[in-house]
Amino acid sequence: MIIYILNRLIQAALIVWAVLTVTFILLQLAPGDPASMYIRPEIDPAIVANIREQLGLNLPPFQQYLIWLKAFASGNFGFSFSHLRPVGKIFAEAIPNTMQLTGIVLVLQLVGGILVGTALTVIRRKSVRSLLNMSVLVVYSAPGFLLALIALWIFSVKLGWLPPSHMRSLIVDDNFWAILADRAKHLILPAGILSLPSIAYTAKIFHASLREALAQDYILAARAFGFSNRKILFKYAMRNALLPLLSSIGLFLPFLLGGTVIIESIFAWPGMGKITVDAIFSHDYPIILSTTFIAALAVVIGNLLADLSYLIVDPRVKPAYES
Amino acid sequence: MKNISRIFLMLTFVFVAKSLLVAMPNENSVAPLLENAKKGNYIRIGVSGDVDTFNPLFIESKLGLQVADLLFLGLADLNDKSEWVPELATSWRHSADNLRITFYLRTDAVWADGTPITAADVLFTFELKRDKRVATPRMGETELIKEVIVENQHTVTFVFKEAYPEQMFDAASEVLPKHILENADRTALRGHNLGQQPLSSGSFKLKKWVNQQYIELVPNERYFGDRPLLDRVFFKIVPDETNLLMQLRTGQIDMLLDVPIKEIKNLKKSNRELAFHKISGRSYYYIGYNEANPLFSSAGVRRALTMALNRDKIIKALLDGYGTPCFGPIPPIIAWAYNENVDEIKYDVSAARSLLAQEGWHDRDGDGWLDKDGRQFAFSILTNTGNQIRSDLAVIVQGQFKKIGVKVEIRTAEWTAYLDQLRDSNLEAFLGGWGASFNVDPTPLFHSTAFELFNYVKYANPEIDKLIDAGRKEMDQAKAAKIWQEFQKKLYDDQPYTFLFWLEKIVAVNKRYANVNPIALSALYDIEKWYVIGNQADTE
Repeated sequence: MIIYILNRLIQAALIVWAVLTVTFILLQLAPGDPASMYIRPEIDPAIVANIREQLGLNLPPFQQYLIWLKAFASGNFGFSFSHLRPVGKIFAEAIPNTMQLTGIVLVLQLVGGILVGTALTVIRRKSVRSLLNMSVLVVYSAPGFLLALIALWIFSVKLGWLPPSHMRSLIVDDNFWAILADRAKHLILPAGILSLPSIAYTAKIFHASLREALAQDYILAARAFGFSNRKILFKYAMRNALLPLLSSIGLFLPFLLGGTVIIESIFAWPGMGKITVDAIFSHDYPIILSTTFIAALAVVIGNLLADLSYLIVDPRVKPAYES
Repeated sequence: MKNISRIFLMLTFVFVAKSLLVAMPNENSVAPLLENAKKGNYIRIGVSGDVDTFNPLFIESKLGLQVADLLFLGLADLNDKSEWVPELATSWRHSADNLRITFYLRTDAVWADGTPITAADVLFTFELKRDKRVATPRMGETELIKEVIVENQHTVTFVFKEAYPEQMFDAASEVLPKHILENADRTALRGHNLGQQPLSSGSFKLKKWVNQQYIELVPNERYFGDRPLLDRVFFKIVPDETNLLMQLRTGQIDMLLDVPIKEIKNLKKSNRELAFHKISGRSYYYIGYNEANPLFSSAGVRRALTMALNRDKIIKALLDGYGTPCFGPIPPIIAWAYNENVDEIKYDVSAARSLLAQEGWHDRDGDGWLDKDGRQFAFSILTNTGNQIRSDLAVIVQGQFKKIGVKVEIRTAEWTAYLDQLRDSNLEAFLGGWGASFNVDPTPLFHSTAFELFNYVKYANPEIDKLIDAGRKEMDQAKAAKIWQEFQKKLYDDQPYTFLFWLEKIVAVNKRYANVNPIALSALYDIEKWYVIGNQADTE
């Protein structure tokens, strides 16, 4: 088991390194560099060359790569060319904000997805089930930005119930509960919009696996024993149906991070998303590489955890080395 | 199972509560806000992007430049008539040979921490700018300054290598606090804390900057001048344009510094509380023709191409009328140098055709396109992606050139690739734009020595060179005006570019604010005098 985990960890590290190296090469191949912003008539090219030298952009790409890799490996994410601050500091502010959003979305995704997935399975009236099924499909396939703009228009502009952007109001009462309520109010729209497609996705997966579980022999046996439908559903079927969900959540993490990019931009949520998009346009290599690192890490760890959780939850699944 | 779900619920709660607290704003900062909220004596200015730094040596963001202008005073600054008026200096004197300017500093000016602002700060700022290790993009300001001499605590002299009319631009800019920066590592100044926590010398100081969220300014109680009438100025950062406009519409922001032109009509209808201010443009769009290409080597051909474009119609269609025709690189707002009487090349399709016929271009094979010596009059126009006005403009230009039998192919490239291609010798024509600064110096664009700089069109005209050289050195503004007017006339006749239009900027602000007077120099001009109508008695 330990050897298996170690093996997977080494694999994970290699994957992350490879992703970062490819990203670095692609960045070098793209036209322009962070000093491109200084190319304008008021600035003498000699001054731009001096700035380039100070930023280390005049060095050969391979040397730049080695310097970067060495710093990166020692935990130094570098200095952002466009924010003029260490990347570590920028991330220390932005990551908790993104985590807050994605954390709540994950909870909503699980709870909402299981509820809707169960409803899809147990509702007997065909018309209601079809309507629910259709809504799930629409929500899943609608682009996030469209949902966001519609929600903004309804809840902020027309009804005026929810703030259209930011994490907090510019002016808030000075007590803990007021600040908490203000924060919650600001979370509803972005978290709600971001979680809708995830809930739909989870519901579909859970619905499928629940149906499969209900068709198993042991359920038939349970019925023969005269267990109530409720007991069969909650105690036996759902427990088994949760398994495929675990692995899918790990895989869904990168999609979630991708979704936050758009939602954070629309709702001015100060997380990683907006910073990353801006960094791409301004050739801010240190930020792009660090974001790629975090995303790659999220995918790899997500996969690893999914596999490991499988191993723990379902003893029938044995790692390859044991078979 | 029950235990697992309990643990799961607990973990979720801990995670959510912890992340909420991590991102919770500093509660001390909101304490005094309530009182002001009731009075409403603040303004919320909507902006689409954050500030990079407040350190004037390294600012690149538009917002950063405007805000830093309120925080860091220079020795002098330009007013709405483009005249130099005192800031940290009460007066200044030019030497008879124009090689020295002596500034007399205020004795009552202090930094927000109470430290007096002295001539030593001025000298220190100059040294920082000149130091290669600092690597500021503003290093060029020191190029023609020989030295800076501290005469006494409140008198400082700039000694120049030569006399030139733009000396004040180089000498009078923002002063930085020596006592904060003197021991800092000069190679790491770019990331110095001053950029995050600026020490103000101006009318406002920074109260709070929450990255990607908002910037809050409050009056600087140590400022020597009158206290600003507003208690707070918020810059609310909303990157999404639709959301930003929505907030302006619903009154959740009070001001927008650059309203997208296509939205003005809708905004006027949906929020009648808004006043719109038009700012004369400092940026112009043009078509550049590579004169190294035989197709464009004749001024007659270039004039004919300009003649084929209906610029008035373009301004109306593309900019809803928020633009003015452009007749050269000097903006009308620099009134003293601007030539109002250039002979405009008017829109005239038949005249354009006959001018091209004189140049030997005819439709000999009857295919609808002009040709000469077996070559069709066809070329590509390069433009960059991500700029809707330019993309639309390219299509309009293509259509209008077609009317005179000139075939245009539109090529687009991403911004940095576009910049690279402008230096390509195979370049034919391109859509470009320049932002004009307040000092007149067309050298990098039109001087024959500037092919490696920004003279992308490879324009070389000895007469123009001579006028630029003379204008740059002329200290007498009346004489300089004559030179620049002559320059503009000659350049326009020669049409190295088809000068298209100056873009106007539209500022929207709620009508409850009085004294708002945005100018080309800054949309926040005289913000100290802005007040909320009805609140004036409380604040004065």
